[in-house]
Amino acid sequence: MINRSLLRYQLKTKKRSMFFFSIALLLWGFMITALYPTVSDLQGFSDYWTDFPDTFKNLFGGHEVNILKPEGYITLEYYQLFLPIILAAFALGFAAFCVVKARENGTMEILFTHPIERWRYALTSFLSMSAGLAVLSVVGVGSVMLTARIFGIDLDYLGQLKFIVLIYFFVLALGSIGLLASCGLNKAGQVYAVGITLLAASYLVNFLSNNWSFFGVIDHAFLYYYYDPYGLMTQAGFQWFSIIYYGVIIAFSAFLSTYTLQRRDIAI
Amino acid sequence: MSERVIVTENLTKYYGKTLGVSGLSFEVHGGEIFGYLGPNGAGKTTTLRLLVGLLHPTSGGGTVLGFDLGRRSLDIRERVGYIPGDVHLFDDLTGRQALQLLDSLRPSRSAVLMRELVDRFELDVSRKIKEYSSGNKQKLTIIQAFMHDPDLLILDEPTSALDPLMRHRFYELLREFKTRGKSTFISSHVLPEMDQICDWVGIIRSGSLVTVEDIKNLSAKKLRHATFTLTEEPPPHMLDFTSARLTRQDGLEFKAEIPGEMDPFIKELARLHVIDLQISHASLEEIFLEFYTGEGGE
Repeated sequence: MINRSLLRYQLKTKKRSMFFFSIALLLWGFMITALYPTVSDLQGFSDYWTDFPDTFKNLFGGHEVNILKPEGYITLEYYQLFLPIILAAFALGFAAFCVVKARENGTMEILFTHPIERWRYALTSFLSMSAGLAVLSVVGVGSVMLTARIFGIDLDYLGQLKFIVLIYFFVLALGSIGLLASCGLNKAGQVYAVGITLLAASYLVNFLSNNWSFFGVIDHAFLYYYYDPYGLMTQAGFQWFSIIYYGVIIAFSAFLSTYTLQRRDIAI
Repeated sequence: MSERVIVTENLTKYYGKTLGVSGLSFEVHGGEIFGYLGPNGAGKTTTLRLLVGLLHPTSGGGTVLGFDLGRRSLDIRERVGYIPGDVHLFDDLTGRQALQLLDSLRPSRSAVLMRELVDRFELDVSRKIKEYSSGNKQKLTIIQAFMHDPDLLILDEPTSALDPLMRHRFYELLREFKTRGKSTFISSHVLPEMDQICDWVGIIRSGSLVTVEDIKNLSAKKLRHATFTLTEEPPPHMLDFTSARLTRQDGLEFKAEIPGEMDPFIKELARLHVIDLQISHASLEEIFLEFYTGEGGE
C-alpha cells in the first residue's frame, strides 16, 4: 500500500524540523508545568480567573475549567491553544512539503516519471505525516507528564494518555485537510492559508457557540467543537464521538487527496 | 518498418485557456533517435510531459511502447527513462541516496547500469545534492534515466549544463543505446549536436508541429548554400535569380541561398560564366531558422 523508501525519505527530510518542534514542545511543556506548583496555592490567582467574565473564560478554554487543578491549569496554558497551534504548524508544513512544495520545487516531476502510483504516493505522504504527528503528540504531552512527575504534581496520567489520543486525532484531521489542500492547490502559501483559516475559524465559532447558542448548530461541523481536553482529562470514560468525527474527516480527506492527486497535472 | 514506440494522434493540451500543444500527430520507431526542436515556449516540454503521464491531455491521445497514454501510464513509466528540462533533485540526500530512492520506485527492473554510469560520468555520489554544481546535477539525472536500461528514453534538454567532454560521453552513451535497438525522443537547443545524432526531427512552433522529417531528406530538400565565382561582371538583370537569394561576397564572388529544388538554380546559373562553384547543405540550425522566419513558418 505504501512505499517504504519514500516514507523514509519524507521522514528523514523532516527530521530536523521534527527535532526543533520537539525541543520547543519539551521546553514549553516543562516550563508551564514547572510553574504550576508556584501558582497553585495562590488564592489571588484563582480569584483573578474567577473574576473574569464567562465570555472571556470561554476564549481561553471554557468557564467550567478549574484553574487550580493541574488539568485545568495545563488546559488553559498549553493544551487549549498553544499545543494545537504548534502541532498544526508542523502538520501543515509536512502536508505542504509532501505534495505542493515537491511540485513547486520540481522533485515531484522526477518522482512521477518513475512507476509509482499517485494514490500510493498520497497515502505514503499521509502515513509519514501521521508518524511525525504521533511523535510530536507524545513529546508534547509527555513533557508535561515527565515534569509533573519530577515536581510531584498530582496529575492524572490516564487522563494525559487519553489526551494524547485526542490531540493526535485532532491535528491529524487538520493535517489531512492540509494534505488535501496540498494535492489540490498550487502554492504552499495557499495550503497554510487554508489550514490556518480553518483552525482560526473553528476556534472562533467554538468561542461564539459557547457564548451564544445561535452558533451552536454550525459549531458541530468544526474541529474545535469535538476538542475538550479538560473534560476528557477530568471525566471518566472517553470521548469516542470526537475520535469518530476526526476519524471520518481523516479518512475522507485522505481519500480525496489520492483522488485529487490522481486527476491533476503534475508540472505546468 | 520497425515497431512504433511512440504514436500520437491529435494530442492536444490546454492549460486553462492557454494552448500548450495542439493536434500533435507523429510516430517514433524502434531504434531511432528523434530530435524534437523548437524555441522556448513552443510546447516541447509539454509534449514530453504528456508522453510520460505528468500531464493529462485535453484531447487526442496516443501510445508509448504500445501502452495507451491515458490508461497505462504506469506501464509506460516502467519502461521509460526520463530527464526533465529543469533539474530539481532531493537536495538533502546524497547522490547515492537519491539514486537508491529512485531505484526503489522501480522494483521490477534493477539498476543494472548504475555503477557503470557513475564511473563513466565521474560523479561523486557520496556528496549531498545541494553541494552539486548544475553540471553534476545534470549527470545525476542522466544516470537515473539510464540506470534501469530503459526501452525508451525521453530527454528534455539533457546536455544543457554539461561540459563538452561530458556531452561527448553522453552522446556516446546515446549511440550505444541506439545500436542496441533502443529508441530516444530528445528535445534540445544544441542543433549541431542534434544534426549529428538524430535520425528524424520534428519541429514545433507555437504548439503545433511544423514538420517531421528524416534528417537526411530534410537537409536534401531544404536550404542549400552555393558559393560561386564569375569570370566577368554580368548585366544586372542576369543576377535576378528566382530560384535563390544572391548576395555579393567579394568582387565577383557570390553566395546563394537555395530554399527549394536545385534544378532551377542550376539552369539560371548556367547563363553565367562560372569559374568556381561550391554547394553545401544548410546546417540543421539554418533549416530550423528557416522554419521560423521563412517559408516553413506559418
